Amino acid sequence: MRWSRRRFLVAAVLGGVAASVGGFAWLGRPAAGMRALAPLELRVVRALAEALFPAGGPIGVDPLAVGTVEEVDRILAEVFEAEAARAFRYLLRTLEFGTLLSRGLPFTALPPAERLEVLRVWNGKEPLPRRLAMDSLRSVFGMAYFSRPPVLAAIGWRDLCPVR
Amino acid sequence: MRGFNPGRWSEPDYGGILDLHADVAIAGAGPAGVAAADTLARAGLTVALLDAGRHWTPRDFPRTMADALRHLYDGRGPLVAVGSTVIPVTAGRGVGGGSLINSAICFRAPPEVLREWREEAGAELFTDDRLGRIWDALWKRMDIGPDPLAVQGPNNRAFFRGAEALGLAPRWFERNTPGCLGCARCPLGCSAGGKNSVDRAILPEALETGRLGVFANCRVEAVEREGDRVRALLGSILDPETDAPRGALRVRADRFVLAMGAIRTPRFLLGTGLAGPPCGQHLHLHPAAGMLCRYPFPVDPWAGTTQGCYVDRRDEGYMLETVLLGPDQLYAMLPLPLGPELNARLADVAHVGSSGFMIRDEDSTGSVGLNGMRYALGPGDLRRFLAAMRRCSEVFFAAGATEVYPGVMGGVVLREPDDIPRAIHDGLRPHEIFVYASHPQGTARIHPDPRLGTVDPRGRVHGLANLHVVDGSVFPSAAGVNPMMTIMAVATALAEDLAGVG
Repeated sequence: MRWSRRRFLVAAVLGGVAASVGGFAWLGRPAAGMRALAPLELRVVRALAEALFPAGGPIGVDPLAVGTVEEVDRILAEVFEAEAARAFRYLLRTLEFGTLLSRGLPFTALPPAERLEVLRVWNGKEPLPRRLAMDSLRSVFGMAYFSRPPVLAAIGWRDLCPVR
Repeated sequence: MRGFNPGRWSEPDYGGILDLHADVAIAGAGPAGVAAADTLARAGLTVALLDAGRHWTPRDFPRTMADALRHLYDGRGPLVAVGSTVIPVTAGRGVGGGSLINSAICFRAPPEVLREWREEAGAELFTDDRLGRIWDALWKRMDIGPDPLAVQGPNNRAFFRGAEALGLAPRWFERNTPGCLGCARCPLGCSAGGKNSVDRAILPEALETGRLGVFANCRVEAVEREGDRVRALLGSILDPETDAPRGALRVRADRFVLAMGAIRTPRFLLGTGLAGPPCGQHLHLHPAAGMLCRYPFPVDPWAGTTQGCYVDRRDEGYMLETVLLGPDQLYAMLPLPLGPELNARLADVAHVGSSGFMIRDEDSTGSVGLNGMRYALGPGDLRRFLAAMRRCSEVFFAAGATEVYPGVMGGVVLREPDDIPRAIHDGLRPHEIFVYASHPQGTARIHPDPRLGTVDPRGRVHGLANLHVVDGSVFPSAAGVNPMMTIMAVATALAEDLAGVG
C-alpha cells in the first residue's frame, strides 16, 4: 500500500484518537513507589519537570534529583480531592496524546526543546480552557519544585519563621 | 448542657456518637462563629461550637503551601467562581477559620456602607454606635495596631515610598499581629505564634465562662426539623488527617446559629431545604489581583509582613494593598516565557517586588449554588479594576521598578510609565486579565422582605423561629474593606440581640 500524504494524515488522526481513547478509558493503578500517578502519567510528569526546570538552567537544581516528581504525586494523593486529582491525571494524558496529533509524537518522546515549545503554546493567551490547564500545571509544578530545600537555597529564599 | 465538659477544648470520641444538648449550637468556628459564641456564653447561655476543621496550635501549622491548602483552605485550595472569566476564591478552614490564614488586616466597615445597609436593607442593628462599641472592645482584646516598621520588610517599604512620591498618602495596616516577626507566612498559618487569630485571642476567654464547648472535626450536614423550628443539627465526626467520617454527631439546642461563611452557609440552607431563593444569590466579592515588578535593588520577598501598607482610593472604587507571595506563587504569576527566561527571574527572586489591589463590587452579579459558584464582573467593576491596575503600575515605577508585570494575559511587561495606558486599556475583557477574589459576602443577606433576603434584620432565617445566620453571608452588599472585623462586629451585634443583651 502506498502512503499518500492524505492517507498518512488520516491514519495519524485515527491512531491518535484510538490512543487517546485507550489512554483515557482507564487511569490505571499507581506506578511502583507512587500513590496517584500511573506509569504513563509518571513519565509525563518527569518529562514536564525536565522541560520546565532543566538541570543546567538558571536555577541549576535538577528537578528529578530533589524529588519534584514524588512531590507532585504526593500533592495529587494528599492535597487534591479525588475528583480534582483525576482531572489532573486526565490533563497529563491530554498533553501526552495531544502532541501525537499536532507533532506526530507523544509529549514524552519529544526532544526537551520541543516539549518546552509545546508548553509555551499551552501558556498562550487563548483559548481560555487550554490556558487554565496550563495555569494548573504551573501551579502544581511550582508548588512541588519550589518546596524543595535545595531549590529554595539555590534562589536564596530564606525561611525566617521559627516554629513556636 | 449535656454531652461534654463545657469550658474545655473537647476532643470527640472518634468512632463514637456525640450527642449534645446546649442552649445554642453554632456551626462554624471562624471569626463570626467565635464572636457569636463568646457573646452568647458571656450572656449566660450554654454554647456548643462546632467546626469541620482542626484545632491548630502554632507548632502544628503546615510548612509548605501544598500542606496549607490541604488543611487550612476550604475545598483544599481555591474554590472557583465561573462567569465572565474563572476566578479563584479562597476561604479558610479550621477552628479560627479565615483568621488562621488571612493577612490579619483590620478595618472597620465605612460609615457610608453601614448607612447603606440600614437604609436599603433594614439592618437596624448595625448602627455606628453599636458597632463602634463592639469594635473598640475587639481592638483591645485582639491587640490590634500597626506593626513596627522594622518588620515591614523592603518590599512593603519600597511600595510605601512609591505611593508617597505620587502623593497617594499610603498608610500602614492595622493588624492583629502583636508578635509579628515579618516572615511573610500568614497564608500558611502563623507558626511563629505572632498572630492573634480568633482561636487564640477570643476563644480562651470565652472558654473561661464555663459555658462553652468547642468541637473540632465535627461537620454539620443535616437537620432535624419540626414545623418552623429546627430541633437538632446532625453530622459526622471527621478523622483530622483524612476527613473520613469516624462517628456521628447530633446536637440539640433551643437556638441554632450558622456561621460557616458565605459559601458554606447558603449551601447548607439550600441543601437541607431550610431556605430557597434568594438564598445563594447576591454573591459579593472583592475582585482583586496580585501584581509583580522587578526592582534594581533587592526587596527580599521572603521578609516582611505579608501585607504591609495600603492606599485608600475608595473614592475611585479600589484599595491598593501590598502583598508578599511565595516562590511557587511568583512562578505561577510571572508572565515571562516558560523556561530559561522565567527561571532566570526566579533565580534572582530577591529583586521581584509585589503588591495588589481590590475593588468593592457594585455591578457584578454572582451566586452560590449546591454545585458551584457563578460570578460575572460587571462593566463598572471592570473599569475600576483596570484603573486600580494602572495606579498600582504607576506606584511600582515611582518606587523605582524597571519592569512591571501587571497581570494582563499574553506576557505583557511594562518597561516605562508610558506603557501603562497602552497595555492596560479599558478595552480589556475579564478573561484577558488575572482576577482573584476573596471575602465572599451577601449570599444569605439581610432584608425584611423574604423575597429579597434570606434573613430578617435580626439575622433570623425567614420562616424559621430558631435558626439564625451571623456570618458575612448576611451582609447586604460588599463591605469594601477587608471584612474580618466587620464580620466579627456584625456577629457580635446579632448574638447580643439573640441573647437579649447589649
